[in-house]
Amino acid sequence: MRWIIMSAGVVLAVASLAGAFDEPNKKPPAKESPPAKARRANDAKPGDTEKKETEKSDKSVAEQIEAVQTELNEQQQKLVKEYRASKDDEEKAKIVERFNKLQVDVVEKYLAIVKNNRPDDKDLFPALEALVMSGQHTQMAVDLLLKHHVNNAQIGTLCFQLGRQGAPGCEKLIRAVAEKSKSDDAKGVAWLALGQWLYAQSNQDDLEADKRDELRKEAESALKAVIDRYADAKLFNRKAGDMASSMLFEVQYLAVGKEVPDLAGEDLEGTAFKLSDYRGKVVFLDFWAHW
Amino acid sequence: MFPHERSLVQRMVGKPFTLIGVNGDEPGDALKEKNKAAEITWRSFQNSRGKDDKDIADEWNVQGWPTLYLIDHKGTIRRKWLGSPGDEVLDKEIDALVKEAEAKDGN
Repeated sequence: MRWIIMSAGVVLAVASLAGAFDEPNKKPPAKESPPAKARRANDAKPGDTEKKETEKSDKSVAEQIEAVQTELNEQQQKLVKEYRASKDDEEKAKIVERFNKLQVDVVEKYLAIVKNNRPDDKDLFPALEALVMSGQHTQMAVDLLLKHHVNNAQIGTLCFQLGRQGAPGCEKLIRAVAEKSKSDDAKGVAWLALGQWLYAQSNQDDLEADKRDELRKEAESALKAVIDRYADAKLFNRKAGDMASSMLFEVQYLAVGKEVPDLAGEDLEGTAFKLSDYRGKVVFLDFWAHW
Repeated sequence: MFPHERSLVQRMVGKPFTLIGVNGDEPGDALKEKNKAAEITWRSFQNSRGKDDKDIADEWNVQGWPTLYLIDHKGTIRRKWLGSPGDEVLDKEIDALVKEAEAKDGN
């Protein structure tokens, strides 16, 4: 199991979802649902959900989505508990299987909600978001978002996450939100997402030098737009302007092919030293920790 | 990753190569003990540079740990990865750059 600890508080499991169980201190890699406003135990009765959600529901869209989220959270917690209590490898593997199936089932439930309601209902957004992030039905969900939800204040964050994943179709959505959204927050974060996405594209191995330069130039201007116009937009409790500044530094000075900027600091004994002390040697610079 | 890093450092003794870390742990005796136990012999920057200066990882826009940079002997960034690409890839890329550096030395 290889882990990447994401700075923005997101944990990515490289190998599989199963890692959620092995690392009690870390959050499961599955996307966290927004907190449910109120618990509705009756909504989550096992057994009756499947039938209900393929039909038109009497409940509001927000209530239907909340019910799915509440049930998912409960089931996940239950499985994690069972896993930790289990001593048997075979049983553990079965629990992991059930955990993975849960993610698949939940996607189907969101899909049913999306299909059974008006696509422009603003409360549908979390379901569309979940579909996009699951990597299934992405195109359909992106199309609906593009058509009906560009002004949602949350869509900037979704753009950023999609851009980071390099999800197919994300460029169109990111550009549409950056250019057309009426929410300044969403707009600012979408410009940030665009800068990040373009820069990632510029780092593909098999790219002509011209194309690489063009992508980097556009990435720089997107990031400068954030700094100049949308610095106060919020993403993961950080200011988009600060994130854009850091990203711009990376694009300008830390991209493959650039001369590495000098780095000065103290070693673990407290002795000052510089990266340039090692010029003339190949340097493998490793950002690491024991966690 | 530590076992691979240890063997990498050993394999490269006497060659134009160095492994430099940027360590994200809380500095102090506990960390020194942990490093000793894990046989971490290579030099690392402390990520934190105090209250008034930006952490190195923030300045370098590190999106996740580990982040890896491979820099050639002339100081050009040649490869970078968010998350390890695997020991085999790392060995191959590092060997190629060390060869370049050695060819330069020989001239």
